[in-house]
Amino acid sequence: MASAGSGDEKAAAAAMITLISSDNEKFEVTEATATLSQTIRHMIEDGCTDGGVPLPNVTSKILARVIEYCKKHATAAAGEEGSSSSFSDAAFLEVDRAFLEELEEFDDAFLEVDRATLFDLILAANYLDIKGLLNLTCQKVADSVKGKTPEQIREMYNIVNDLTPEEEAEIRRETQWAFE
Amino acid sequence: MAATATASTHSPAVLTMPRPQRSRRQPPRSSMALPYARAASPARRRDNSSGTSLPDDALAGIFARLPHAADVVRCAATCARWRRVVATSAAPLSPPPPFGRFLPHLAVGVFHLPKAGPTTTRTQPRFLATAASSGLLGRRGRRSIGSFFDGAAAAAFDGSRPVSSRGGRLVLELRREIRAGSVTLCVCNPMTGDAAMLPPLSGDDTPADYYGCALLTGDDLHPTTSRRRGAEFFRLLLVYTSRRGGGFTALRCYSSDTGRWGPEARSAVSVTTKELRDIGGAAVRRGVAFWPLDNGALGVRLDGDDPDLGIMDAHLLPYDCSHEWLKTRLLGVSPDGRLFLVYLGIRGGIHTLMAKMSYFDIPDDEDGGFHNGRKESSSDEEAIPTHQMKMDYRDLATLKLRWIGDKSGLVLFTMGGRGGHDGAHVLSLQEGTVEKLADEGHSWGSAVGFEMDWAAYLSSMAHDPRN
Repeated sequence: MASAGSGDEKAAAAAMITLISSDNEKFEVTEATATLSQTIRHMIEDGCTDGGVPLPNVTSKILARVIEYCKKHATAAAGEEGSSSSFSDAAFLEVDRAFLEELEEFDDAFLEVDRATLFDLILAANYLDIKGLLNLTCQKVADSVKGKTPEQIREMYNIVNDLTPEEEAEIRRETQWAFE
Repeated sequence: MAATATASTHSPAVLTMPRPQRSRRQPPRSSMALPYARAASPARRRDNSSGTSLPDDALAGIFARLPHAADVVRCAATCARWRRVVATSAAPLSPPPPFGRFLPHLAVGVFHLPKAGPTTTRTQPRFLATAASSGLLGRRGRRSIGSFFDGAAAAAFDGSRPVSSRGGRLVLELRREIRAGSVTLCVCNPMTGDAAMLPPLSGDDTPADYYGCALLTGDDLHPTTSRRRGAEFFRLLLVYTSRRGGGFTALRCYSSDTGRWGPEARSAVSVTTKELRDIGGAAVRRGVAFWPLDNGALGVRLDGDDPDLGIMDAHLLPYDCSHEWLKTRLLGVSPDGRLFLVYLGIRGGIHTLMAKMSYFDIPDDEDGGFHNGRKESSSDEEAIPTHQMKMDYRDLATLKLRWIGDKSGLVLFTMGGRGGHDGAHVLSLQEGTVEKLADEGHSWGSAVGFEMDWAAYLSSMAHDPRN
């Protein structure tokens, strides 16, 4: 992912932003890709992106993944805005559907990561304020918890049960319906 | 504070009452201020280090995406921090998906006047907690409504009486000024300490002594887009006898949006004074309020697009046979959204008290049309026996049904007589159990139960039983 800047020439000519990870690796991305992050969009608007944007909370490993997501979805956003005139409606719908399927496949593959990476992605999406990515990753965790007992959830996420037996009994008593 | 509120006749005076000490809805972010945070450091350390590396707001984002209310509750039972995050981010996690059953734990207790008849100026409605919620609201025992609010605000409830209650809100009628001859209603949430005074209804607008009162929330009126409406939104619908020409049955609605009462509208269905005397609160289904009358259920639908709230569609949904024992039946709504009439009786021979839920048949046209609804005799009934209560017909003669909680499925009733059953009881339609709340109750004036909303219920999970 080191060559994140090698987009098409037109975009590169437009505006490039340099993102700097916590371990000091530099990533050059187009403005369209970077502004999927509301945090970075605001920085661009405020004109404070000269000399690169330091992201002390995001490692290069995670930042590379985040940029991969943003590039894909930035293309999707551009496609929605620009291409309808170059196709007949029916053809456009066809292309559109194919692209949406591709995007869905991309998202599914993107989520094939270990738990630690998933959490790091949530933290990064939260910090960078990337709605689509936050939604995608949080939904993945929510789906994994769905229908599980507290014991199963603890095991899945290595959570230590620090409720006192008294507290646990109290919760169980007041919420018995949720365990039936 | 009461004086200020009554003086303003045209705009609502919203009392910004200080939150009570045990207020739980949306506690401040600072964890030191949270009601359950114990000062001892082991508790804090325990809480912060537990339950994954995700920050609180990310966890809240995950919980908000859980498909079922039960999933949220099970997450709260995994560890101390998750429990705290569920409790503190409760407001965005509501409205809940359907529960699929009654939740008796939502009911927290009863507000009542110890004596029937005119109140003295200093009397306040008393509060009585159910056994399950006694820990939640502090020590078990009677407290006045004012004790849920702070200092000066508490005095506003002197001489007030509970009128109805639904979905975490309580409607009180403030003390009637004899000479002013006006009625002032207050809609409050004792769990959070929020209260809104409505503009008084006076002169020809004053309802007579007896009136029905329905509280509708954003969830009722816009079930699919309820998030558009704030949690503070409500409408209050009254049915009463007008003081104008001939004393017809009138309807009038208040909206928190405009802060005004709409115009008085003539009801297409007449309600007798005898029926109004015990009409009480209403059941609400799909934005339609229903009150039980002798020969049918009075349904009233508001026109949601009418800003003045003057357009109301009233219709009688007939019973097949009359239920003229005014004090012995109530209307409720089941977890799957069906309107039912509930009444209590005795199963012959074994003398067991049982509740009967008799369902209405309301065709679901897209208009929410309830005009063709009716209740057929015993064709669609459910009987809930309460095995612990045995009695005979003489006991039953003194029975008064007072209130039903549409989320908790609890029915509040009082009995007199000498059969050993005199007092105030709550019957759970979900469990078929009866809990005695007080030895007296037969002599109570107005009495309404109170159940929490979903946000307060989630918040209550952070409550420390040792406090």
